[in-house]
Amino acid sequence: MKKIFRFLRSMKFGMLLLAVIAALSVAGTLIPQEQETQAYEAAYPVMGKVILFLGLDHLYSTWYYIGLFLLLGLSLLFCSVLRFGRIWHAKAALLAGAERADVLEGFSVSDPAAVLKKKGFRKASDRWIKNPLGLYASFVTHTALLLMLIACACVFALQEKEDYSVMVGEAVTLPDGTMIHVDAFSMEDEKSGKLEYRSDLTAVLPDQSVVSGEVRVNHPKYFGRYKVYQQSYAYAGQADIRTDEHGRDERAVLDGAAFLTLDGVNGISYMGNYGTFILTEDGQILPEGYPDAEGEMAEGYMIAILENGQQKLTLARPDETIVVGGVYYTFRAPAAYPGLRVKTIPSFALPFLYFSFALLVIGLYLCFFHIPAAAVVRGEQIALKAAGDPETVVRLLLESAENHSTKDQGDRPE
Amino acid sequence: MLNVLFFVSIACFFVTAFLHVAGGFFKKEGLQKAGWLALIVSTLILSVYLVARGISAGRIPMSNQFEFATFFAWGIAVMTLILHYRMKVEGIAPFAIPGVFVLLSYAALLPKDITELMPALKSAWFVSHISSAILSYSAFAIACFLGIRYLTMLRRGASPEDKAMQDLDYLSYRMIAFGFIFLTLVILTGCIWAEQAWSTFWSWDPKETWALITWIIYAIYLHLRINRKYRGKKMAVYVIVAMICVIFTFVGVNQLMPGLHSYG
Repeated sequence: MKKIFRFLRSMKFGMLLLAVIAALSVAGTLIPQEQETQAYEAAYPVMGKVILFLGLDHLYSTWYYIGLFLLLGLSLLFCSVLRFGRIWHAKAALLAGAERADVLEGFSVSDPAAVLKKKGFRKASDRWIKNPLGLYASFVTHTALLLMLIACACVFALQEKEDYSVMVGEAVTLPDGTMIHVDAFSMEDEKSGKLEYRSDLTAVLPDQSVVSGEVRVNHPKYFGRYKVYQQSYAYAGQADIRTDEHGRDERAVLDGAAFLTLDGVNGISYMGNYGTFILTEDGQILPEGYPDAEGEMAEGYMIAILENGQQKLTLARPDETIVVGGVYYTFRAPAAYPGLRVKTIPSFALPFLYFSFALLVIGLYLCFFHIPAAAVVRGEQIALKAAGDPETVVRLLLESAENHSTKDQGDRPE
Repeated sequence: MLNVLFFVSIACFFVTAFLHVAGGFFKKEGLQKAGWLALIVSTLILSVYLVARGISAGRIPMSNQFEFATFFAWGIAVMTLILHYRMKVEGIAPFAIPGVFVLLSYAALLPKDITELMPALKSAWFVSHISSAILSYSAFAIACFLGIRYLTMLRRGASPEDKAMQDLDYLSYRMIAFGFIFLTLVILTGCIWAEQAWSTFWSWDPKETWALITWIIYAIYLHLRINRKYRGKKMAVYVIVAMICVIFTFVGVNQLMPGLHSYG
């Protein structure tokens, strides 16, 4: 048991885990993820079955990949956090190390205290110390990583996301009764004319309070407990339909293929594609760019008219009225509508995650740019102990001190 | 006009690289001095180009592969100057400046048109995310050049115990420590930005995944260096191999693996 514990907290184990995670991640970027099973069998005739068996088609959600991160968490817990007790004695150990250290060879100045002071050392009784916070660097960094893993797990496990496509003027009702109404959607900034996807929304919260606001890419907004993102956009066909020539138009918004009919027999089969087509002399409708196709270019919806048992493929141009079975269909230019992503996340998760981010940066800074050192003055000489990368740090400190003494005294110290 | 300035800077870096390589090879101090002067001039021209492009675009020019590569080259050039003039590091320019020239030549092959920022890139996180990436990549590149210099000196008979060799080794480690902090910032700011733009902190997009792989590779380096006391030749080889991963993250992922970062 002791051996297992020792292995779990060893750096070797941590490094091994990191190396395996990195190697698997490489595989995850080389093999396309989340495709259809047949796609792997077709793309990898030999290895396809192995890829599917090992779950490399959805690597990042496989039990063993997630398990590696769990083990990494354990390693961080054992290697650093559970050795918390050590850091209480770190300062005393560093100072004691300076007491035991030999004086720096070939280095002597008339006022070693002034040199140490200039190098940022502070006096602690009869000894000198520099960057004591650096003693906690490794602990802070590893704790931050552990907290980050926990926070990420919380975020991914507890967040809920749902995508909604909502036409302008329509609303979506969320599980707790919150209703979000899309007042407007635009794809251009009014002032600059630059590309900008923006939805103006009004939400009626469960307590019947009303909140309005806009969401843009990079600028999500909270409506009650829901965070709403401007995620995507799409176009829907539009047709005004009336049953007699002078009647009132009813607007139909068509976000997919549909059969528009009153009697169930005669009507228009709407296929959902709007664009520029080529109308050939023999009545064919071909997509723009069709090789060797010649004819009139026209914009519109490709539709099929079904009347009296006959079917005719044609193009419905914007604002053109087509009468089928006594019903008037006037197609309008397509309208853009937003795709909104609605997300809920526990309120503690984000501050927790951001805290771990900040702690990690602080920890890394302490690790590499706040290297602790302790010194003891013995006559005109200095005994120095530094953590981290001792030999070089000591050498560099000595070097700087040499420069200092050279500057002060006009010649190199003996 | 902007393109002319860009190509002038490439020509200047070519001359600079030649002066440094020739100066290093023939051990001619005059050539080396001219090389440093040329590097200052070339970096100034590239800086003027980047400022002019920024003014012309109305934003910091870091939004696509061309602009990133140019800024990356500029970052290496500036760091080389800092290392030489501030930290008195010798012998890195013959490796770093040809690297800058190659990077600028790669940039020259890419579309140079100034395009409008796509909505996802219009974010307060844009500058901090990309500039952290430039600092981080530049530091890793410098560490790689220091590693090459270390191996070259070793091949010429220098001892790993020599002070100059230990300095190179230590500086390479410090550059990686510096780059590692900024790579961490790249990933963290990217996460926060992704949450605002795409509603998710992490999507296992190839660029994100390769950034994580790069982070792991350098994390292993730092652990080996600090805890296992690995030094010298092994670590010089390690930083060179790690740089291949950085280059793949920068170039390979964009060219070979379409994803959310395909515009970059």
